[in-house]
Amino acid sequence: MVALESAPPRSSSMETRREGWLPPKSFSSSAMAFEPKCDAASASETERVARSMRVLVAGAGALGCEILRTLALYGVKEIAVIDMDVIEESNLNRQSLFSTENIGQSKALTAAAALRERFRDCDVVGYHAAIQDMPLDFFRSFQVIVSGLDSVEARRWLNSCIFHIARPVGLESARNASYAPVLIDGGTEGLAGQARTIRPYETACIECTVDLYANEGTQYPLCTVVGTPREPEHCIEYAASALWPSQHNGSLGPLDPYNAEHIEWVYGRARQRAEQFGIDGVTVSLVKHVLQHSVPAVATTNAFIGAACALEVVKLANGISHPDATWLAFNGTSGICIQSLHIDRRRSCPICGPESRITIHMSGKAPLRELVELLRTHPELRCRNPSLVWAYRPIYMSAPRPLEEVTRQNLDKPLNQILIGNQNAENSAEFILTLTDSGLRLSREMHLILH
Amino acid sequence: MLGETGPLEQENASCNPEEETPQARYLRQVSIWGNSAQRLLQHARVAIIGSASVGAEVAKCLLLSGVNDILLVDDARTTVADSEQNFFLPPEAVGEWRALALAQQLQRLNPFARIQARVGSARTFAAEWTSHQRLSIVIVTESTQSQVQLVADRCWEATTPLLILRVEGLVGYITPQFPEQILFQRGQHPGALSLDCLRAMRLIQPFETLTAWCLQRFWPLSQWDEAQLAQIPWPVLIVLARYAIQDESSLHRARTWDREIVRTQAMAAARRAPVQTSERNESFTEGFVEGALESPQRAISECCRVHDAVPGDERDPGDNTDESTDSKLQLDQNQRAEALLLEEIMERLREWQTNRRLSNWTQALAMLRRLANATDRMEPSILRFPLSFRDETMTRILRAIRVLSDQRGWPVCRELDHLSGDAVAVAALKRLYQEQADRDVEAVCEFLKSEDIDSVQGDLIPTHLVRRVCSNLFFMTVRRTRRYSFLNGCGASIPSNSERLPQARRSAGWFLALHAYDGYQESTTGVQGDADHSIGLLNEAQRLAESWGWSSDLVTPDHVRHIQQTAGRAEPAMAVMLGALAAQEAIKLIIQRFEPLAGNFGIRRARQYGLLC
Repeated sequence: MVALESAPPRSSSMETRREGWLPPKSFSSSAMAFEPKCDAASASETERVARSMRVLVAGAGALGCEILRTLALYGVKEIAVIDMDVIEESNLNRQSLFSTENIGQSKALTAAAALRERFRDCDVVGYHAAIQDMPLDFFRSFQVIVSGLDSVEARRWLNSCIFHIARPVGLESARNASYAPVLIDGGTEGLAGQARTIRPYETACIECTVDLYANEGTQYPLCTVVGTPREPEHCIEYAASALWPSQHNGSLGPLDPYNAEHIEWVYGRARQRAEQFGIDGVTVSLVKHVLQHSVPAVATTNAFIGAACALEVVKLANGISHPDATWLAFNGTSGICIQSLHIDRRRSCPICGPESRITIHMSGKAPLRELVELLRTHPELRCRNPSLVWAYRPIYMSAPRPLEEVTRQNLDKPLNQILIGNQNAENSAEFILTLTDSGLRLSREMHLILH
Repeated sequence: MLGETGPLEQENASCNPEEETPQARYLRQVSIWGNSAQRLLQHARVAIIGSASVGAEVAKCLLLSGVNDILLVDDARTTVADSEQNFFLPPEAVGEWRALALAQQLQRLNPFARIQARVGSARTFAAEWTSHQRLSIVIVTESTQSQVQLVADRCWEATTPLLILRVEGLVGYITPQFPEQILFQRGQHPGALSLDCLRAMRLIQPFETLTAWCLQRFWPLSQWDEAQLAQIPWPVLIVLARYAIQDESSLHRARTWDREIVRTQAMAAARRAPVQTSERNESFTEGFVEGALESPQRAISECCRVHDAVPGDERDPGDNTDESTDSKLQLDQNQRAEALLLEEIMERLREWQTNRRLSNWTQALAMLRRLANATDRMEPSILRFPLSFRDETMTRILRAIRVLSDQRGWPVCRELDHLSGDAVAVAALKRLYQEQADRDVEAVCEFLKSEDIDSVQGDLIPTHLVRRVCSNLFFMTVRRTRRYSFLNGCGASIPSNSERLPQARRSAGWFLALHAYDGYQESTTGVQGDADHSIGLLNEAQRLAESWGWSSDLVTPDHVRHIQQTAGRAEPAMAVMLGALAAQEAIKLIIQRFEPLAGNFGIRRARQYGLLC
């Protein structure tokens, strides 16, 4: 896979400032107390300690079900579970708390009810909502947040949320910072999976390794899809999101990614478009994959990873969590392969990296659109909705809508017309912009050097 | 033991797994292993011995994945501790038979499943299980040492795969046992053509209808302009180049061409090798030419004589050293002939290409180069070695294919992978392959019927099995484990380079300690936390290591102390994890896809792991 020993600088157009980097002090000293010799003794107290915890399980899918089940077996009394989805038939091959009669009901509420029925004294609360809709104080009330989410986007959101509630706001609170939530993140794809522990400012966070995640199908920049498709996925996205609504005028209703006729239709149009642009590789299976945004999932991998996450919670409660090897990687395709790895924090991480700055070099003649595109596709940033502010002036705002409409006209202007600065002798100018991303709760200072 | 009736029921209804369509329920997993594998899973019958939390977790995963027939064997009643550790045994079930309560609770996970419960021990199961009861796999999660051995012996004789599972506190292991397991493996990525896929397309030895169609549709190439040439699917180019090398009159000779080279070389070898060897080679080639169809008996006996020259049941088919020198020589010759032919085809394609840069040309050349660079021969790997499987049906099918291969060529793969080019031509090409595949299957079935062997009636060999073998011929491999024997290290062995594998050593230590604990517990009571017992346990473990021929420093006092302190304690996560892993292995063995665990797997606490292979 990817070398995880260290995070080398990846992009020539971005530099990180190294000075001032110090390994941060541990916020939760208990999490560091790992002594292999005494774990047997403390195992006897496993349940007692675990019982006093408040745990949030984000996502009540296959992983969520297993995490909930295992936590309840350990005797954890206060659990909250949040999920915005409803149960579908294709979930039933792996989600052990649901059955056929639950189809159409809320995952979170059903899972909570099933758990309460099995464990009378377990206080499980279900929330049928998106994690993004919950206030920050909600997350603050849990010691551990376990996530079994199905998208990279939601993971990144939750990750930044953990850092927001962990981040000491003033001097006083920094001194008293005894509270730091821990995020335990599980994920599976087919017969492979991973579970990792994120202790803010101690271990690598999701954003440190964001380039390890595959790009998600939903995130193709629209201007590329419409104007200059390069990949077969772009053609499929075009056929599905631009051609389908315009040609059918709603007569066939919205596109159903599980309807064979619809898939065939999209496939045909995507093929035509791919041929126009000389792109190869549009297949029916790719169409299905792009439309359904689905990754293959089985009961076994999910049970293993879910239980591994739950075990991690219990280990954390007992202070026997491994301080270094925080990433469990599992692959079941060839025999059984389980590895635990250490990942370094990335110094230029926009969430937990210490005061790192983003530097981007570009040509002054390039339009703003190109810069926005770069921010979206940049392996270390992967912005969702980047907004740029320069000297209190909005350059481009992706949200809210009225502002977007006003600033959209800037997109086609060359950068050196928007940012008028002191051109120095070498014919290059440096501008300090503020980059924010409403999709990722990100706000960073960005140095843009125009040539 | 009393309990519900309906123990091991005879299941002889041979269901054809080709007919049903998979449900929306399994949509997300079918994309991993395909419809046919899902059907196999849905027709599987699994026995799980032990209904504590590990057994329940295994059953849960299998039921969710679509296994519709499960037998639970357990002889205990539900206790309060069970209801706390086992998610599927609620407090209401306390006092009931565990197997019965579990069967009732698990039904919810898969309404289509038939879950049977038998109140009894592993011994009961072994006694009641007769050989004509089909079981896809047996999973032992709880039992005594002697009873595990009993079940293992029965499974070995019946060629049924077995998984032995054990979790104690934070330590656990999985021991697989299968005398032979035939696997059908395709490339993982449907878009990429593997070497085996290329071989299964048989472009170098094309079947007649393929050559005829290519000629009729595309020959001569001079009639097409550049844009049209770019639309020709690449396999057609190879077939045409192959045709162009030999004109019509020599085309017939081409089929025996390779063999002639072999024969002359064999003559040359005869001067060096013992006389019988070269004679055997002669009769081998002659035997096929003189109509093997008329006397399948003879062809088979010839075939067996040559290929079973080295008797080897336990031998790993991936091991090349087993071959006798003459067959090796023959192998080299065949390979050289193939390499020459490939070179010629490539040369011809390059001539035609001249200054055009067409992607289909490039692809055809790239594929040929891959074939040429391959180190082994073009024939299916499963047929390169002695054909004496325990599964007699499979052996017969494979032998028939080998006999027929000389007249008809290897059966082609039914599904052609993604091809680009003219859509009509691609569709026609795919249809040709399907038709040829059907013809091949038919021919093999005919041949099997014409044979006269007492043991398995040719008529009884199911067509869908023949079809499965034929269309997967190039992707088949065989895996074996050692036989489980407690006296001999439970079938496990330490890797020879274990000095450099600390995980394997650590895992071996846990394995020893756990087995010693089991043995010690059977003889003594109350081993927990007592210092005397700790020494006794360590001695027991070291004695075990010596009797297995392992080094006795593998097990340390730390291992023993940990086992003593955690044993008997509920670790729900470990049960779920190991149960899931075992279920995964069971699924792999049932669907005969992916690489199964063939050694011993020890796990402790998820972060420290190890493999004993």
